Amino acid sequence: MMTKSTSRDFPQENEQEALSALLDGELTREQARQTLRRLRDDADMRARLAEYCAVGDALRGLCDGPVAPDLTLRVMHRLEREPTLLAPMRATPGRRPGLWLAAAVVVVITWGVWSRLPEQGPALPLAAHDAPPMDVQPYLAAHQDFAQAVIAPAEMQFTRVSLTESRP
Amino acid sequence: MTWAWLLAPVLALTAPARAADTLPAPEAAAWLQRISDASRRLGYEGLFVLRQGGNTQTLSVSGRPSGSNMESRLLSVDGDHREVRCNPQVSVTLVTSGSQLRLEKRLNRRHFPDLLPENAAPLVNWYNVRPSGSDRVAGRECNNVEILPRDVFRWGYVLCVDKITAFPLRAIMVNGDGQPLMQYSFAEIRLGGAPRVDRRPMPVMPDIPEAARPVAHARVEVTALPPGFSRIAAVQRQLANHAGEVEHWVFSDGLTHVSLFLEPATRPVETIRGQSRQGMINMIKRQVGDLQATVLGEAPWPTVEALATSLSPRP
Repeated sequence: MMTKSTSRDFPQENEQEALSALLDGELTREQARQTLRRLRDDADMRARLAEYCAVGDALRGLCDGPVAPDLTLRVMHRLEREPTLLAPMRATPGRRPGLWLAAAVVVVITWGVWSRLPEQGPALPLAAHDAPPMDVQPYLAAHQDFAQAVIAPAEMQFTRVSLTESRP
Repeated sequence: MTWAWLLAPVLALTAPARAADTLPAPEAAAWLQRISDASRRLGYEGLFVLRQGGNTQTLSVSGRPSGSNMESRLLSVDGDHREVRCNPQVSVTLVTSGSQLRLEKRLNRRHFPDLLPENAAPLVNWYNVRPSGSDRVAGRECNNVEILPRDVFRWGYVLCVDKITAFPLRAIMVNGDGQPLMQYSFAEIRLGGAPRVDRRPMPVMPDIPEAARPVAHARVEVTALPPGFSRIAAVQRQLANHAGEVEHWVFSDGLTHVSLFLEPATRPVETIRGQSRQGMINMIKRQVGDLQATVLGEAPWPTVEALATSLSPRP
C-alpha cells in the first residue's frame, strides 16, 4: 500500500512525475527507493533523467552546460556499484531524497574528475622508506582542531632523516 | 564523450601559465575580507563533498550568525557518524563508531566554509590573489579566486565564491605547482534565510576532561619561524588514543596551520620524517632536550622542517 504523505501521489505508471518528484525531494523514502530501483532497471527512464539533467533545473547545475549523452548512464552504473551511496535514503524521515541523489551524483562526478587528474607520486624516494610506521592519528586528530575539522585517515610514509643534512 | 568537459575548468585552473593578473594588494585584501566575512556572517545550509587523498566524504553543514559569531553543525553522512557542533562558547566533536561514542571538545570553532581568518587582509603579504574566471557550483554562479603562495612555506587555495555574496562554494587546496591536494565542493546549498538549526543543547559529558589548559612554562624555544607564521596557541592537553599529556602549540599564517606536540621522551627519539601519499601532510619527529617533538601540518615540507630545526631546549 503506497503512502500518500506527500502532495503528489507516487505514480507507478507515470515515470515523468516520479522523476520530477524524486528530484524535487517530494517522495517518501519508500517511494524514492522504488524510483531509484526503477531507474536502475529501466534504460528509458534513465534517458529521461538525462533530459531532465540537461534542462539543468533539477540537480542545481550539476548537469548544466553540454551534457555528455552517456553521463547519466555512467553515473547510474556507478551508483549500481556503490550501494552505500544510497544509504542516506534510509536516514531520518523528512530528509530530502533529491538532496541525497544530488550528493551521490556529485561524489561520482568528483571521483571522476580526480581520478583523471595527474597523481602526485610520493615525494620520498622508495629507497628512503626505511622507518617503521608511526601512529600519527592522535596528533593529526588534535591538529584538526585548527585545520579542517574533518579527518581522513592519512596514508603516511616514513623515513629516517638527518635534519642537518636535509636543510636547504 | 569523456569526462573531458568536466576536467577542463579544473585543469585550466591548475595550468602553470595563468593569464589572469595578480590583484594589487588593496584590492586583493578587499576580496579576501569579503570572502571571510561572507563565510562567517551569512546563514547557510547544504551538503558538500570533501575529497582528500584517496578518500571522499559527503557532509551536511549548516551555520547561522549568532551575535558576532556563528553557530554551526557539520555532520558526515557516510562512513562513521561524525559530527562537529560549534556555538560561540564551545565546539565539540562526536564520533560514533559501532557502539562506541567519543566526545571531544575542540580548541577551535572553525571549519569549511570558514577557511579564511577573521582578519584576512594580512594574507596578501604571503599570498598572491587573482581572479580566474567564473564557474557554477551547486547551481550558483561563482567567481574563481586563486590564493597562491609567494614562497615555499604554504599551500594555496583556489576558491569559487558566490557571485552575489562572495560565500565560498568550492575550495581546492593546491601545491606550488597548482596541483590539487584536497577539495571541498558544495553539492547543495541554501544561502541566507534561517537554516534549520539543531536546537538540542550541546552535549555535556561530565567525565570528559577539560580539553586544554594554557602552557604555564615553555620548555622549548622556537628560534625562527617561516615568514608570516606566529604562534596562535600553546596548551596542555590529552590526545585521544594517546597516553599522557602533551603540549600542543599551533603556528599559523592565517591560512596554513602547523602543530607542534611536545611530550617526555621515554627513550632516545629517532628523527623520522613522514609524508602523506600526495604530500599534503608533512611531519617530523625528533628529540629536543629530554622531550619528543612532533611537528605536523597540512603544509609543505620546508615549513615543517624550518620549525623542527628551530627548536631548542629551554633552561
